[in-house]
Amino acid sequence: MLEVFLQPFQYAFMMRGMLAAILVGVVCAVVGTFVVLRGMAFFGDALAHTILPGLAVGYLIGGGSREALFWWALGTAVLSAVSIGTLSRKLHLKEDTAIGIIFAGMFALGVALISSVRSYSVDLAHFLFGDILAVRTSDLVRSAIFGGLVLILIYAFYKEFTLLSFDPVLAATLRLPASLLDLLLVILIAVTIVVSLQTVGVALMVAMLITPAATASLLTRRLPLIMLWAAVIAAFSGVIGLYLSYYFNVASGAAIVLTCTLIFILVSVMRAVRERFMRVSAT
Amino acid sequence: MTLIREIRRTRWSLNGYRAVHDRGYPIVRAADLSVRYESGFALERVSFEVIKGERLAVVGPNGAGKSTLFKVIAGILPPTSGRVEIYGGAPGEHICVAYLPQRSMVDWRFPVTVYDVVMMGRVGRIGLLRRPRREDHQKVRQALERVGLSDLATRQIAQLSGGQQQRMFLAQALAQEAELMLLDEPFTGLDLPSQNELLDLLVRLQREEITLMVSLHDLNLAAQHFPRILLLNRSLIALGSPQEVLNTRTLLAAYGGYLHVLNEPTGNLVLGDTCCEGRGFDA
Repeated sequence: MLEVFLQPFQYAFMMRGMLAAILVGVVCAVVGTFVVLRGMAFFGDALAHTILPGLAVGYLIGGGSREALFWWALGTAVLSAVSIGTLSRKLHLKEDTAIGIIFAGMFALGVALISSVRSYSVDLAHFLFGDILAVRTSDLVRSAIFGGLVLILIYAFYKEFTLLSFDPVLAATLRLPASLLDLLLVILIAVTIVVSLQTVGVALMVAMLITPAATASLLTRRLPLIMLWAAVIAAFSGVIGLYLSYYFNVASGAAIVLTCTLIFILVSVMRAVRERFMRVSAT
Repeated sequence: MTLIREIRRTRWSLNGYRAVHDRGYPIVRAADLSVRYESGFALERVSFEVIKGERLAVVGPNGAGKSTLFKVIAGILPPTSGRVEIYGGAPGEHICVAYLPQRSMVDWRFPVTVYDVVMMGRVGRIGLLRRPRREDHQKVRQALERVGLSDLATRQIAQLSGGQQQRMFLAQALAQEAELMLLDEPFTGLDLPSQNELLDLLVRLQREEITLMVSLHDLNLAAQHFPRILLLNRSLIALGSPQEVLNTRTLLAAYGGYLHVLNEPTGNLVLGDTCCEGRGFDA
C-alpha cells in the first residue's frame, strides 16, 4: 500500500510536480476566496484566457525561455485587467460585456499567433491545459517567490479587502482608497493566474480559483477558516490529481480539476443530507 | 485620474483622518444642492442646516431623493451643483459620518460575524497595514454592549433578526465614532416591538450628542417620534416641527395624487401613503 504512495516520488519531476501543485493550490485558494466573495468568477476565467497572446509572443520571442514566458504572461494579464476596468467605466458598458469583449478578442489573438508557427497543436495544448510534469526547479522557485508575495499582500490588506467585498459604501465613507485596492486585488489575481499557468493551463484556471473556495464556504461561515479549508482542499486535490494522472495516465491539469470538482460534489451532497436530517429532527 | 487622486489622499488615511471640527459651523449645511442623473434631477436646489445633536426625520415618497441626499452628505456621491459642508468642510475630509445601508442592500450570507462587521467601522481609524489594537477591540465590545448585542457577537450575520441587524449597523457606526449617523429606511420591514426597540436606542444615542438623520416613509412614525421633520420630494418642501411640516398643502406637494386628504370636522385626515407600505395615518 505504502508502495503506491511512494512509487511516483522516485522521479524528480513528480516530486517537483507535487510541490508545484500544493503551492499553486494554496495561493489560488486564498486569492480565489475573494474572487468568489466578489462574484468575479467570470472575470477570473476571462483573465486567464487573455494571457494566451502574451504567452504566444513570449514563446516566439524568448525561444522557449520560461522567464520570458512568465513576464510576457504577467504583462498581458495586468494589461487586460486594467483595460477591462477602463472599458466598462469610460464607455459605460456593463462589466461582463467588457470582460466578454476583451476575453474573446485576446484569446483569438493568441490562437492566431500560435497557429502561425508550425508545432501549433502541441504548444497550444500545453498553454491551454498546463504541463505540471515539466516544471523545473527554477519555475518552482519563481512560483514560490511570487506566490509568497501574493499571500503576504493578501495578509497585509486582509481587512481592507474584506471590507471592500462586504460593503463598498462603508469603505467609501471610511475614505479607503477603493480604486487603488481594487486594482491591487486585480493585479494579485493576475499574478496568481500566471504563477499557476503550468499546473492547469489557462482553460481550467478558473476551477483552481473558485472550486476550492466555494467548497470551503459550504463547510464553514468564518472567512479565515474558509481560506484555510480552501487551501487544504486545493493542495489535497493537487496531490490526489497527480497520483491519478500518474497511475491512470490522465492529463494532470484535468485530473486535478476533476478531483476538486468531486470534492465539491461530495461536500454539497453531505450538506444537503445534513440539512434534510436537521429539518426532520427539528419537527 | 481617480487613482492619482487616491494615492495623494492615502497618506492621510495612514494617520487616520484629522479633519478639524469647527464648532462654529453647523454639523451639516446644504447650500443650493442639486444632483442630476441621466434620468433627470434627483435633488434640486436643496438648502438646509442640521443642528448638532438633533434627531431629524427625512420623509418623502419613493424616489424623492432621500438616499441620494444621504450619499451626498456621506461624501460618496459628488453633487452636480451646490455644496454640502460637514462642520464647514467637505464631506470627503471626514470619517465621522456613518451611512447605515438599507437592510435589503446587504449580502447577509457573507461569511462574517457580528463582531467582524462592527470592527469594520474601525478600519478607517486603524489605518492601512495595521491590525486592530486593544483599544479597537475595546471600542467594538463597548459598541456591542450599547446596542445590546454582546451575546450575539460571534453569530454569523444571517442569524440575526431584522431589528438585530439594524442594531448591528448602529454598533458599527458607534465603533466608527461617528458624530453623524445617516439611517436609510431603518424601520422598513421591522415588526412593532423591534421598531420600538430601535426608537428607544435612537433616543439614547441622541442623548449622547450623536446627530441622527433618519429616512422613513411612515409619516405617523416621523410625527410621533421625531422633533424635526424634513419633507423632501426632489426639492425641499418643508423643514420644522411635525406641526409645522405636516399639513395638507405640504403633503400634497410631496405626495401629490398618492395621498387622500379628507376634510373632517375634527381636522384633516390623511389616508394612505399608497406608494409605500400603505398604513393609514393622520396629521
